[in-house]
Amino acid sequence: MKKYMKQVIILAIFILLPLVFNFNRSFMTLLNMAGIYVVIAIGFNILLGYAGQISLGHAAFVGIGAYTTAILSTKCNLSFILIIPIVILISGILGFILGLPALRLQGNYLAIATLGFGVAFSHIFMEWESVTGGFSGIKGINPPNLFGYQFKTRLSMYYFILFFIVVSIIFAKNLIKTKTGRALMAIRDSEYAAMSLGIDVAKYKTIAFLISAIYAGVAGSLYAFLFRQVYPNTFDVGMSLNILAMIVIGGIASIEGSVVGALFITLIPEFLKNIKVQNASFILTGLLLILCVMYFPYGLVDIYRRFKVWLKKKAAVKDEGVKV
Amino acid sequence: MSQVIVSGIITGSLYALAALGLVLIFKTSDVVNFAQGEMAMFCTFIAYTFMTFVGLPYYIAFPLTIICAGILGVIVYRLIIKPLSKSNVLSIMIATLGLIMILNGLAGNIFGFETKSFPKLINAKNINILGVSLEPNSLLIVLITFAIMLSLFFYFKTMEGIAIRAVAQDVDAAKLMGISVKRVTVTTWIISSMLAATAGMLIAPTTFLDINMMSEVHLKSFCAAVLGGFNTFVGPAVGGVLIGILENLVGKYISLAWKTVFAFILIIVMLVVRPNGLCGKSYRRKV
Amino acid sequence: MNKQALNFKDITIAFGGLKAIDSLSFDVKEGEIVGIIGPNGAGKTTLFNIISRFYKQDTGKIEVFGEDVSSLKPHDVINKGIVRTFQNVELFKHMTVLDNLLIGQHRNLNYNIFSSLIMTRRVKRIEEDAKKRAFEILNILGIGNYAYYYPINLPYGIQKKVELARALISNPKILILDEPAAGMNDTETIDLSNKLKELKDKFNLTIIVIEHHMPFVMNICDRVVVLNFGKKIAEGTPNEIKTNPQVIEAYLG
Repeated sequence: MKKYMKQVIILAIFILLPLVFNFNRSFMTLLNMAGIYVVIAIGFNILLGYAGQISLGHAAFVGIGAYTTAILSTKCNLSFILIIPIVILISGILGFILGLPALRLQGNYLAIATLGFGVAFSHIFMEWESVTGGFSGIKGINPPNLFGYQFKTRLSMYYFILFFIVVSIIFAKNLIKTKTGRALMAIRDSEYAAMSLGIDVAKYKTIAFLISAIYAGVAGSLYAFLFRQVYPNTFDVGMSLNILAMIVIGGIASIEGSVVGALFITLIPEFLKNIKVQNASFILTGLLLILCVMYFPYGLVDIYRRFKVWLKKKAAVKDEGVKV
Repeated sequence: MSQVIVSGIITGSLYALAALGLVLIFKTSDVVNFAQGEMAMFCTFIAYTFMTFVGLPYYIAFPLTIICAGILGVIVYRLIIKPLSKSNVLSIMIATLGLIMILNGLAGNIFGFETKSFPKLINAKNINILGVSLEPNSLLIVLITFAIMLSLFFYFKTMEGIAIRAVAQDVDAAKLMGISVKRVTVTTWIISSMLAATAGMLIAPTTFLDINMMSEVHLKSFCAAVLGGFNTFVGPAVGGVLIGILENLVGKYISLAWKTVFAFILIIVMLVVRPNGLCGKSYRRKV
Repeated sequence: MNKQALNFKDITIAFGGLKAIDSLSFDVKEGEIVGIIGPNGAGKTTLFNIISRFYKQDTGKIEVFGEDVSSLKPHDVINKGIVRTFQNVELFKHMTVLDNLLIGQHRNLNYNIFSSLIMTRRVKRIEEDAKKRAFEILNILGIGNYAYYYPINLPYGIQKKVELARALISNPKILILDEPAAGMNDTETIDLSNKLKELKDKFNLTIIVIEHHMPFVMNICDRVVVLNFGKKIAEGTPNEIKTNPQVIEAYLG
């Protein structure tokens, strides 16, 4: 158990955090939002960071998860225990469909195709009024109910979401240190070498899209349960860009990076709220995005790692008086 | 029916106009500038500022804005593209996405968030040709789009154009031939930024001027370029007009609400079936 | 005589009208080391890319142990016992040497994605075994101490060896090497050729190798095929090739 000491401590901190500080409701909402983005970002990092496939339409999957949840909850009165598997199924299928163009497209072209997918879905949410409620969305989603306990408050939802984050992290970590994860990374680094070693590139690209779509779909479901209403404008290109920014700024191909990035991007507006510039967080995100691709291609977690290496070197120099 | 087609051609030429700068950069440096639309919006605001706050007439504000656009092109190239010239396609793409956020956020703070109206190039009464009602301003836009397209097409056949093409095909070989890759690339960024400004100023009267004026047109310009072929100058025009017409037909005979969804599904299918577009050539990928 | 491992029958492939390989036929017997030489652009790597199914030949067919493989997908080629290295080293550069070798065993790891998500005991055991095997191969090639390095931080010669190890770990019958000695000095090249002979016997390999380094080819190959402009201009033992007037002309003219 000593091996997982660090993880357990971090988890304990996050469990105690809202109990110790007693945040107000709006900050709790923000934290919950950040938690939802953590789930999306982890899934998106599997796609972009590990498999090297871009998507500019990931908000569509979040929207699909949210709308599926909203419809099943309001119209069929289903419990979340049933809704989540259905969301997994539906977002998985749509992820598979979006993965199909990826089998033939790369880089710029794939970005445009996925962008088109995202825009198409944001219009579908808006226009398919009989199902999605159009502009006015869907209200009155039931809170998740577990053995009679209702996750109604922001605090209870915090723990509800935290549970999903923990599962997301464990699954993602296991995935990347076994066969599937390695195959994804192999495709990213050299498609031809991967093929020559027996990796079915088409299959694994599809798997990457499928997994990231499921993560986004489940996150969408959490979104619906948190706010208990959904509106079409939420799941637009802006959200897709934010998801991208999270992992680029947090750290490409790093689970920790996804977590850091999601928390960072979601909480920026809170820290900038005293600045008199409108959209300041938007501008800052854009700026950080550019600075990251230029100077820190592995994001904030890499800055931390480099800092640690630098400290170690400094300590070594001090101790032994020699240059390392 | 013919009215629908004519108005399709007019909207289509707006898409094509917005797409030309996109294609120019893609052709020369393999970069898709996702911020092209925001650059157009930003420049249009500059023109608006010249007219309303400085009080310049349209025909002076227009060329002045084009010059400013050229400067914007140099700035974008210097600050973002050049430092990333050794990076991969994905990094540059992400940087241009970041530029969207910066330009969009700045524009709102500098120029305001409310919607403004922008003057047309010419104000004249509609004319009637064979039962089709035409607005002279729209007709002019169509003509300008095709004029720009043709001049780019022929420009690419000149000495300078050959240099640009050489750079597009092989940077190292071009260097060996004594072509200054840096100069060629900065030139394309200047031209493409100017094209963006032109597109913005011509489109603004139709969409009205605000920070999100280009979002729809910009996305459609992608559709146009993809449909016609991202690697050609004729492509965006063909693609733009086709999308404009199809969109109008779908809007009129099937459903107005679904025309945008239709356009995007069309380009996804197109990308899968024929990634190089209707006018582009395909070639065998090299290992 | 041994049975045929590989048989090329009348292979032709053209790029934009230019024939990169023109009606090429030859065979490789089991247990042989066959060298493919020829000037730049002679179609050597193209031939390897056809075997790997990255390209599809326009006409002709390839047989592996008597079986036509022309309809195989690139990722199925390894299942016929064929594995290759690349001219410019195609290692997975953001993965450690050890992970590179685990990819080499990809198709032998028999567990599904769901059991890997929850890390069942079986998955753990299979992964441990795979790691052990990776170290075995690395140690055979004398590079075991680099297991946790990233290829980018290793000298070129070591990278070449890692790629060889990655190919060997999949238990190939036929090993295809594209310029294995490129960038090596003479001593390293001699070491490599000795090592390859040793490996050939140890793993019962058939080897096809493209190489420009002539002493290497002369030392290691049982037979040599000479290509020029996509055509076979000579075939024979190294000594026969050395004195073949057509070969001398192709290289000097």
